[in-house]
Amino acid sequence: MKVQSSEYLKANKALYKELLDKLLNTYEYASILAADSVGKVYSVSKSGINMREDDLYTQRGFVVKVYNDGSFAEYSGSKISKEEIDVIVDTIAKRLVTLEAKREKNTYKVPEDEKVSFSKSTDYEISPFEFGDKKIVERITEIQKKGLAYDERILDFYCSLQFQKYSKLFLSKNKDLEQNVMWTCGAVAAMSLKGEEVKQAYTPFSVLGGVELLDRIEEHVEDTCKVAIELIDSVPLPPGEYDCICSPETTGMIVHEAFGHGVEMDMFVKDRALAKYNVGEYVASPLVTMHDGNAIDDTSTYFFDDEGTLSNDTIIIDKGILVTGMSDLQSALALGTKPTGNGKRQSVERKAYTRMTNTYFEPGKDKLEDMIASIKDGLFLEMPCSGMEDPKNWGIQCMVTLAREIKDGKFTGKIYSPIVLTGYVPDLLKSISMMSDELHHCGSGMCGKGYKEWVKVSDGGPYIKARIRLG
Amino acid sequence: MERYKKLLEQAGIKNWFIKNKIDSSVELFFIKKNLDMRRIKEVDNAEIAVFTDVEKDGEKKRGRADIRVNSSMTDIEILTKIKEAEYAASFATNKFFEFPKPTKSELKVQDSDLNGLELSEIATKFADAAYSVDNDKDAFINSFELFVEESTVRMMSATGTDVAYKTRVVKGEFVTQCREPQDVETYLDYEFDTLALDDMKDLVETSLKTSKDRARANAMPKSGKTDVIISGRYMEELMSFYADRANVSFIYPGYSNYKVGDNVQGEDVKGDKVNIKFLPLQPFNNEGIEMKEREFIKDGELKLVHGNQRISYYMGVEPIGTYEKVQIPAGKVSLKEMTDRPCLHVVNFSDFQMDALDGHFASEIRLAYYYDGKGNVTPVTGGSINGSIFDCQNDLTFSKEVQKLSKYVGPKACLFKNVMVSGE
Repeated sequence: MKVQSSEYLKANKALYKELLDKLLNTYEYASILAADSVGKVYSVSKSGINMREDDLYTQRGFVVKVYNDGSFAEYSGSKISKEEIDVIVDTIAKRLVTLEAKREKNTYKVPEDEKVSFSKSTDYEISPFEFGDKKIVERITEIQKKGLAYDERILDFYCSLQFQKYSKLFLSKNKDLEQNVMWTCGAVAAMSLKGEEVKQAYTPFSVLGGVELLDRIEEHVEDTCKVAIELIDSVPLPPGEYDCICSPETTGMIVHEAFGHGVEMDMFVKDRALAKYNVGEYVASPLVTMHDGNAIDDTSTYFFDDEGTLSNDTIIIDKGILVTGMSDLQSALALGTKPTGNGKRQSVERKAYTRMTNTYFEPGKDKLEDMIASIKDGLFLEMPCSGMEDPKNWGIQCMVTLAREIKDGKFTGKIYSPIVLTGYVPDLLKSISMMSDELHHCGSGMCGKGYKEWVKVSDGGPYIKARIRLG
Repeated sequence: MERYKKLLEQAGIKNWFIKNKIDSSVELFFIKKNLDMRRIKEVDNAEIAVFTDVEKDGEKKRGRADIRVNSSMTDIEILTKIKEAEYAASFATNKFFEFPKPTKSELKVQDSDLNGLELSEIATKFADAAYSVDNDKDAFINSFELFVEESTVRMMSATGTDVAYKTRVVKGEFVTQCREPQDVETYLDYEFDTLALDDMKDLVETSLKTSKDRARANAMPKSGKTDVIISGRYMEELMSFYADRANVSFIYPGYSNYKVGDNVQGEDVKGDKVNIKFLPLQPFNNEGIEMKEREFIKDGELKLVHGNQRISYYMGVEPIGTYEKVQIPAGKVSLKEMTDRPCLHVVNFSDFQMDALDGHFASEIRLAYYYDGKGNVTPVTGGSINGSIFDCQNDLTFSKEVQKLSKYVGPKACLFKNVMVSGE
């Protein structure tokens, strides 16, 4: 089934066009992005049931971008009406483009505005609207009860589901684009007690689609509880450099946090990314090919970005060599490159930045069992919990929940937790010596630019074998 | 606001709560010294909670569903959402809880010298302040983002709450860079609710110095346990541990065993005892509960727990709202005295995290100063720390020097004994 378009955007399209036409009388380039979305979050834990429309996922409004005397300015608003069009035009002319009029500004060429028009929608199997809030709450409550009943050492069990259905309309002189997208994601988390410490095992899920995801969530209750119980006996890891097998989720975190942020090309413009000086060079093992974009379906799949650039499958690393970064419109203008469709906003209330979409390593040819068997003395890293970019210095700051000890190709049963990954990104990527033949990706989380600008992304890859410094 | 109230009444909703927020902002984005983008925002959004009481298996329950609306929506759209929420609340039910006592107040305007100025004037003043100290020959501002925001919040409930407040805030982030001998950068975010132009300048100057020191820093020496000083804005994150553990949402499901009267640092405290006051971030929380200064921990003893109405009701404690801002008195030891011993003073982490669930604090180190206890100090970079507050909280040393951040007023630094540091 195809995701339906927004009645609101349809009904108000003529008003947005009227606003655009008036702006184009004054400005060489103008565009409008209008959005209408609804997103709900459902969760159940010992503390109770929560159900709400989320502020990040539920929004309605628009953002106008104008090009004035070589530079850009934006106005974000909620309501469009016949009466307000002139007020908005006046605000842009008198209060916005005049802001800091005397200050030196970066200047850009007028953006290319290729003639293109379409209306596209993603697919889903089961609509959360038709399935209904009641059934969703019942299903996640059942899952939560199952987790809580798994073992008396499970202190709490949490199950959540969230979805967003969004419609976006992009208008410029030559573009008339509409897209309707729906994604769903969820998670289960099991908590156990180790003295005063609460240990948490967390399994996320996502799909470009609807609540067909619920079945997958239910399948992983026991695995998650088992890890929470294993964590009770975990011990701190002696710092050092280890041969590691990374789970696909851990690979995804390395792809996204350690490398992906470093090839966001607004960082090139600011001279904040070392990758800028390494295009055309080996930055990873020849086993590594990295993509960003729409070649896979996950929570960050779309047809055009928040600046009206069509989405792409961008090959970032090809067999170990850095080919290109990813860019938003303004960064591409600054660098004289073609925008890759990575201009994303937290909402129409925020500025667009270069952001990742679905970012992953292609699978390799190895079998996981061979990879584990190849480790003489090392660790299996799983359940990533957080990461932070350092594009300037390609430093790694990622945390995973646990590391399983491997000796002579076999798990010993010893568990270390928590684990901090550090080191230099190219050293880690160049050390990749094996990659499994399967690709897993997940887009359950949100990605920030620094500590703000939260957008939906997905990441993943195969199991990888690498040498990693852990603390 | 009155429109939403009217529609709720028209839909026959007995219990509801509305929070309406009108935001305007002026935003400036700089690369080096040049303005790269300017923005204005004028938006409104409202959250409406709809409550439904039901009886299930002879037990009284109260359900809740929250929707989001704004001025772009027609009455019919809003009414449809309200009716759907009413239905949803009839099965998204929890154990019965009472609503907070109703509160009434005229519009409370934050007492700040930001008032009376246009948002654009404030933006100009802060940008000028930041760039007025960008004169170093080696280090410079790489990029700078500035958001001047005004928010007017009004909350109403079916039970009689009707409160409103207006705030202004200046916030954002910036990056400083130093190219020689190593090309490095320092990221800082900031938030002010006054015309704190000198504080803005100090922040930029400190960041420029951090970048210069990081540029000449050596790699972290080998791994091991050492005394670690954590300072600056990381104190805010670190000390949030106690507020998180004392939140009823942690205590009720058993994540935290805090009880009023407990000694949170244990019985055998060798170092400074923790003293914390809660300060309000806004006049009212999201449920309309009045927020005010409260004694939280006195000489290590927990004086109260905090959190939302529902869980507080379940636990039989006074619902006082969730507090995020803390005030801690100055310590007795100066930073200079702290560094008389061998220790590592970390001034810049890549992403410092204090996990209130398991008590671990950890991060990669971007810049630290290693003091050898003989008067020698070496800037170092790389490696990470991984400590547990449960292991070190009985022997803390707070600094005499204090600082004022958006959610933290208190000692500039704290010394932790025997923390695991991972190096080369």
